[in-house]
Amino acid sequence: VTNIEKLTIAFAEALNIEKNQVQDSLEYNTIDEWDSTAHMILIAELEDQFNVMLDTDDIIDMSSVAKAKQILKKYDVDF
Amino acid sequence: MKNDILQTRLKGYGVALRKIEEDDLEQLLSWRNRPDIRTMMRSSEVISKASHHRWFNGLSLQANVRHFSICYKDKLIGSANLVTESATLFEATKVIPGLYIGDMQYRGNILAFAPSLVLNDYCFETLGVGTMVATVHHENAAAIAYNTKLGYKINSTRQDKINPEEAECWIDMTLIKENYQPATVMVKRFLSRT
Repeated sequence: VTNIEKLTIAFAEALNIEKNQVQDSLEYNTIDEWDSTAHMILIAELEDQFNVMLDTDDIIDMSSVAKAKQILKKYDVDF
Repeated sequence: MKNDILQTRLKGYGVALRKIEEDDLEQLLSWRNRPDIRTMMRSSEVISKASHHRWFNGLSLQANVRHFSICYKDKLIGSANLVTESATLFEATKVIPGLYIGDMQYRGNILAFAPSLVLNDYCFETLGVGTMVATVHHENAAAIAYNTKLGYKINSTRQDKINPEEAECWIDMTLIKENYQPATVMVKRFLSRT
């Protein structure tokens, strides 16, 4: 499984959305499914998938799929 | 001295709540008068600059009220307050918190929980408050959802014999420590990392 597939699965399962909705342009709070509760589930899912622990600032800054990729790169996750 | 516990600077979960400074006033007034913020307040009228300065100059005289500027990474992002019907906050058994995030980058963000966590911890753990009471406009779904995630329960629609129609627009939500703690385990964990 590639990292992009892991990321897609994490978003789809945490937000309970279709995989094809997981696009770089998808932003926090722009769909009903991505609210603050789902955001916390998403963080837990990403940490589990990539075996990382995100800093609070990164959790706050993770405002889109594109931003998630950018942040995960800091933790040596390549896309 | 009991007054010592009435701190003017509180910190935690990534944010600092500090005393409002004169330099904050212009930004706070701009946010306070923005329609999306003021229309969800009990006093929803537009406030003038002069009135805002009079309010600021009277802040230190009120022992039953504390107003804070909310800062994230030293940047002003909103305002919060604590009010009690008791004579002073350190005597309060019931406290009414108020809060808005003015910086659009953080409205609806998980960070928006941080100032409430700081205030609630302070009220429950330091001041020994028994109940927090939030009065929320019945159409303010975001605030109702936000408070529910903090452990608040809807108490009732307000009753007011003098102005019943206006009172029906407002909902009282109450929070006790026993509901607050389990509801906020996860958000506290995410906002407490370095």
